[in-house]
Amino acid sequence: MAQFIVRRLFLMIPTMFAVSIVAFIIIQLPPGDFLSSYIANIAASGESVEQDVIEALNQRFGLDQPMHVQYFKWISNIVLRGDFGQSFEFNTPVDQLIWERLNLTVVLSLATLLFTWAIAFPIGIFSAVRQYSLGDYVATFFGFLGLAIPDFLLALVLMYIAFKFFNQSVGGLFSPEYVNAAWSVDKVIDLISHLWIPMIILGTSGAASLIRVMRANLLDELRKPYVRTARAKGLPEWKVILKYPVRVALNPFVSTAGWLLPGLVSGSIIVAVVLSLPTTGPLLLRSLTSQDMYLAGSFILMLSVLTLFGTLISDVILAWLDPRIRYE
Amino acid sequence: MKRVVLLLTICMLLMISVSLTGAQEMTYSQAPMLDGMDLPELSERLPAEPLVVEPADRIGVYGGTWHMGLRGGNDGALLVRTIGNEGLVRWNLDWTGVVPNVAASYEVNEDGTEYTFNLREGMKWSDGMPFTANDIVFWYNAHATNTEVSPAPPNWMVAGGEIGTVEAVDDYTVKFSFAAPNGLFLQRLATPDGNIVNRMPQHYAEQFHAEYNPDGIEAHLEESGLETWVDLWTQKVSDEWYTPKPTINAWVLENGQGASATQVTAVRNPYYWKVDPEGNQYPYIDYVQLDAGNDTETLVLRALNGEIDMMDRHIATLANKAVFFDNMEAGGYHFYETVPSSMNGMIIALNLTHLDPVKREIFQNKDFRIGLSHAINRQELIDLIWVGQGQPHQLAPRPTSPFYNEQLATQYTEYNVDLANEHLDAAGYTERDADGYRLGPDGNRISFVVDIQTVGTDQIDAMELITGYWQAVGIDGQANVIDRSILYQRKEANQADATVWGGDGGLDVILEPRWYFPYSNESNFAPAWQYWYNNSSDPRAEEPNAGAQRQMELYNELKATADPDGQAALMNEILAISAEEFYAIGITLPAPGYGIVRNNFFNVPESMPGAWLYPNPSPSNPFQYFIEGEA
Repeated sequence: MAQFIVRRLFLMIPTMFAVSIVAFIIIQLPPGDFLSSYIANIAASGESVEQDVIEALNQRFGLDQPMHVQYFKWISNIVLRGDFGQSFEFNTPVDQLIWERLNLTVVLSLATLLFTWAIAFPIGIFSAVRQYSLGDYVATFFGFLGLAIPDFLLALVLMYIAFKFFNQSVGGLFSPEYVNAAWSVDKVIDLISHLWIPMIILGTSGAASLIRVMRANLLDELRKPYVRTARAKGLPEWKVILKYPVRVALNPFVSTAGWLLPGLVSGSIIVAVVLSLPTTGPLLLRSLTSQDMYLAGSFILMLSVLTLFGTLISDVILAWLDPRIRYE
Repeated sequence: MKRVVLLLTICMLLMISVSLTGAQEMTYSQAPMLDGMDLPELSERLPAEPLVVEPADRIGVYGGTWHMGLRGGNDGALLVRTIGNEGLVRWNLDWTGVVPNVAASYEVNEDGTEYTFNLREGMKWSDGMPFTANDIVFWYNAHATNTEVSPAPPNWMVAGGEIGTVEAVDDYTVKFSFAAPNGLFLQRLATPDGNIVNRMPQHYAEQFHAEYNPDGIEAHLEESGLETWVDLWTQKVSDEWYTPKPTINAWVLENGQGASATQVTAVRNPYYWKVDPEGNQYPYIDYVQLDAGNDTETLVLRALNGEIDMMDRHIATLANKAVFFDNMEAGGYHFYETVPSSMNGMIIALNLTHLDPVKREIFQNKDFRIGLSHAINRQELIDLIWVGQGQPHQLAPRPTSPFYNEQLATQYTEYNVDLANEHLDAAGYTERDADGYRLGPDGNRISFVVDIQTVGTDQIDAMELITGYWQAVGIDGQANVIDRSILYQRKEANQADATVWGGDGGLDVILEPRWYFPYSNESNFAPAWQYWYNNSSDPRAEEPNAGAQRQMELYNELKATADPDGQAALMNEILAISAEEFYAIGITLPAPGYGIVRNNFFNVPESMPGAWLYPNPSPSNPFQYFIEGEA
């Protein structure tokens, strides 16, 4: 096991390098650079920048250098000094920007994950065990609805309802009076009172698909002979189901659990934009559209690191969960 | 124009006399929130001659918070427009001239090469330190002429090819001198570009400057995590809205903007240097609070909900007007009018300096352009796409502008297919191919693409109809919808056949003549000519035609003219040549815009110009807005 992990860790290094190069190239691929999109954006809102300001920015950012020079400057700073560079748009070190938003992002993502699981597992198990019952049909109906409705649309509809019928302030994770306040019990309560809307919106489609997957997997298992044997031997019904078939049915979840890590950072971008959540998603989107090179590059690098680690973790858990899987 | 100048002079004299008499008799009073704070007496905080400003409607009451919405966490332009822009001089409300602001008065020498500003004795920064001529000289030395911070000097400081000089005659007198007349200097000072001279408190800023603080700069860099001192300077000093710092604005930042800013707040400046006629220190409103929304729709919902007190930026679009109108009662707000400085909702600019000689020949043919213009049914476009709001208009100053030129505004706007065909025939393109399209001088079909930015949805819709109109007269012009930054890149490289953009410069005719002659990189109709005007050694530059060259000479002459009447005469001459040249095709004059203001929010004028160079609502004096009762 230890050897397996070490070997996997070692293989990550060349992968990381390949990813960083590809990421950097892709970010540079769209025509123009940060400066041209900056100027175009300003012009589009009827404002203007003086030529002297443009020249000053160009010189400061070093955008006129060839791509490989910019890449090596960026990557060597990361490797040698842990310095991810600076955001052009916000004139702030990239790591500060990302860290500032990461905490709330993790809180939101974990809350969503727990919500999803808390709903999906019981309902999934129920609709498999009571296949074609009324409850199964209801769960299936809402499951398909949840899968079919794009979550940003759900967000817009909920916001409209909140505005139209409850006269409630929409967007954000805090009430205005708490946004810049120091952390306190009141602020946490305020956060929780705002957290449930994005939690439900983000959790719905995830829960719906989990229900479907759980149901299908479990149905496969329930028909196997060992289940009948267990029943014949007189094991209580809950133990028959939870101890063996459910455990096997969990495999697909665990192998996709690796994607949860990058999802923590990049997930739900559109919903976060619509709901004005102070999470990392909108920042990533903005850095890509404004071609804020180092910020976008660092984001993508971070996402790929998280994907690699997530895959490793899910492999390890899978091997632990299912003794049939070997390390070869 | 003479009358305007006369009026202005009277206004100025009035203001000066008001402030003089005021200084002797007036007793001052302050906002209740300042009582009990550990501050010097109000009379010591105010300058000896505070600026007395008449409220728009009536004397207000103190207190309250002005709520607005910030798009993204980073929207400096909104902050400049609402709580910033304290220039040495500022625009008057109707945008006909400049009036003293930070400067109590100013003198200009006869030929416009020397501008002397008399500052207010005893005026202070928001931290209580004196604001003097030395702070302005500090801006000049540390920022404007420091080649690390500013590789090129601000162009409004340049006259006769070199940057002017700034000297402090005494603590309260500062003199700008130029090698040649700098005729537009005062106007440029009133725009958002000009307020930077009053934004650099030396006592605070010098610690972040490598030359002024060579020993301490390292420690600051380390603390901030930034790479160079120029980045540090930008973050701490020259970027007005990132770091809270001493200011002369009516409100002082508490929380600045930035990527992670979800709320920007500002609180009244206890040292603000303006008072109302009864001696009440401005501003009336205690706090300004801007909540960030990543998305415009979120801001719109908040505004509908009555959570925004007064705002037009981002939310007040033509498309949203009906929704805002329907929710007026529930949201407790009403509209105010903004008269856009834009003179066109859609300008189709054929590239007269196209790299392909055939297209260039076709596009430069004036009859060809006239034919295309007559072929367009503008009224139908306005009815269908701009919901009936607008009127046919070419590239010309707005009707309310003193520079309005009827010929320029209305020529060739008539929808007349026969006339269009006549002109296209006269252009020499009478041969047609099997599909009915006209053939160009090289025997190929005349065919070109028009670049439109993806977000210009009304322009994209309009272009679809225009393609049809042109088809009817045998011309193949297709829309090419692309991302804004790609459009800019194609334009910069002179690769576009034709572009669609809005028409700035309808009221700010002299300061923004981009559509009247090849003036800047926004003059989309002739990229190579504008390069020639701005830097004739640019490899992309080409010598313009005679008319454009004459306009460039006239504009240079205008910039060197100090007298407003002389400037106006020259500008009219430039516009007359524009009418003759007919550079590009305009479609519609934008109807007045609007903003929303809560019913308990007062002293907002019913109408004001809306532009960047007149950064509305700032010239309407937000410090005299006040909140009273419930909406």
